[in-house]
This record gives sequence, C-alpha cells and structure tokens, in this order.
Amino acid sequence: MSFNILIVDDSRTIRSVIRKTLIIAGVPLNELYEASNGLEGLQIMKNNWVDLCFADINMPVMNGIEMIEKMLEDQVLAKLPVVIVSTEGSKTRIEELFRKGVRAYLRKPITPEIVRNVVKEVLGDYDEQGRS
Amino acid sequence: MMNKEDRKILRDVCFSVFEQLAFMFGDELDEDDMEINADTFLRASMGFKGEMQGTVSIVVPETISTTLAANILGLDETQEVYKETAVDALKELLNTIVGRLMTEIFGEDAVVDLTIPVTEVLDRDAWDALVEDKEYLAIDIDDNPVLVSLQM
Repeated sequence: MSFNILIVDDSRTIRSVIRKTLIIAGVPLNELYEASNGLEGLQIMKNNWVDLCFADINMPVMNGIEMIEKMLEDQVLAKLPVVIVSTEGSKTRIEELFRKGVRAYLRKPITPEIVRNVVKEVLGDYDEQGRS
Repeated sequence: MMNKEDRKILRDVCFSVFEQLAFMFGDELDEDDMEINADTFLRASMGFKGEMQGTVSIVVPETISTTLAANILGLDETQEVYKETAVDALKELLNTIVGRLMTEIFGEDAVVDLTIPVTEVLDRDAWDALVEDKEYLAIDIDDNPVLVSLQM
C-alpha cells in the first residue's frame, strides 16, 4: 500500500526537506503533492485523494490554522489527518491545534525517524520502501 | 538595545539552529575577526507580536546563504544552488531561530504571532555600518562573521 501525501509550506526548502525525509524514512509514496499556502492546499485536497497532510502554521495568503478551520467545515476534509511541522513552541497554540483535530505536531528541524514514527502512528504500519 | 541576557539567548539559539538545521558551527567572535572578503550580503528580517512586539534580523555574506541552502538540502559540491534557493534557505533558518527564540524568551505558554520573513540585499557599506551598530551581535559561523539582532 502506498500513500498520497500533501506538503503545505511556503518554504520550497522545507517542502524539499520533508519530501526527502519521507523518502529516506521509507514511506511508500504514490503521489506527493506540494502547496505553498493553505488556500493552495485546500484546492489540492478538494481535487485529489490525500491520505495525510503535513502543514506549516505561518504562511502567507492562508495560514495553517485557517486551513484546518476550513477543512473542518467540509465533511470529507474534516477526516483528513493533518500533521503540523512548525518552528513554534507555544504549548497554548499546540493545544489549540490538537483541539481542532490535528493528529501530531513536529517541531523543526525534523528527522527521518520522527517522520517515520508519525506516519506509522497516523496511517498505521507499512512496509518501508527500499528496505527489507 | 539588547540586554546581556537576551544577547546570550540569541547567540545560543543561533548556534543551535545553525548546527541542527545546516550542520554549520558557531563560535564567539572577536572584533579583530570581523574582516571579510565579500561585497554582497543578505539580510532576513521577521516580526513578532505577542506579550511584546519586535523584529529579529540576521545578516550573512551571500556565500554563507549558498552553503546554508546546500547543507539543508543535502546537495553535493557539483550541484548548483540558485539564488532564490539560497534566499529561501536563509528565510527558513530565520524562521526556525525566531520560533526557538520566542519560546526561550517568553516561555512555552505565551502565544506569539510571527510575520513572514523578508529579505534584502545589502552592499559592503551597509554591512560596515551594521558592524558598528550596537543593536547587532556578531557571531562566527564556520569562520565567517554573521550579524544578528533582536529589537523589542
């Protein structure tokens, strides 16, 4: 089984790092979508099947919190698991995100091991690609 | 002007983020080590607003931003780093520094809103003026001078 994963971050560098980290972590990928803000992310989610979304908080046009609030208004998107990848460390904000249904919170910088664990936690165990 | 404690926190956060994000190592910098053979510099700045409001800035020689991008992305020496990639990497470095800094200064319970990082190119005269500016702290990153500031 392979997954469709969406990365929403305004930094092309970070999107590239998450993409590489997913590959190094052996996550089986079908489609890997990228968006540079929450609005673009929503459009991709509405037009494509996405199993998991990695999203930043601080983005132009539409930030990560606004994107999650919009997702909650949609019956299908409300069930799509979101993992926040951010530099922010505010417990208050992280608790607010979990109340909105966020499944996990990763603080940058991230490692393949952390990504592997969070994908397994959210989507269930999988056979790692490129590994026996 | 930054107080002694804020300067220490800023320096330690910068060292930690450079090391964890880009495998680049920081050290104290003496005034005698400010000599640098560069004509172009990049400044990234980012605002914050919460309990207090202010701006955090970092100024680096352009070559540092290229190394930064290559290290973050895991590129080898044969792979070209485009200017926009180097600028994006510097913005992300600052973003990570500011995120850590806010927790260190205001604590984990504080909610701080951050602006999107912006960058500008500076020439040698602008760099020389900032070196004299007491709002900026000079640190050494991989034997290159880097300036950082926290203004509240």
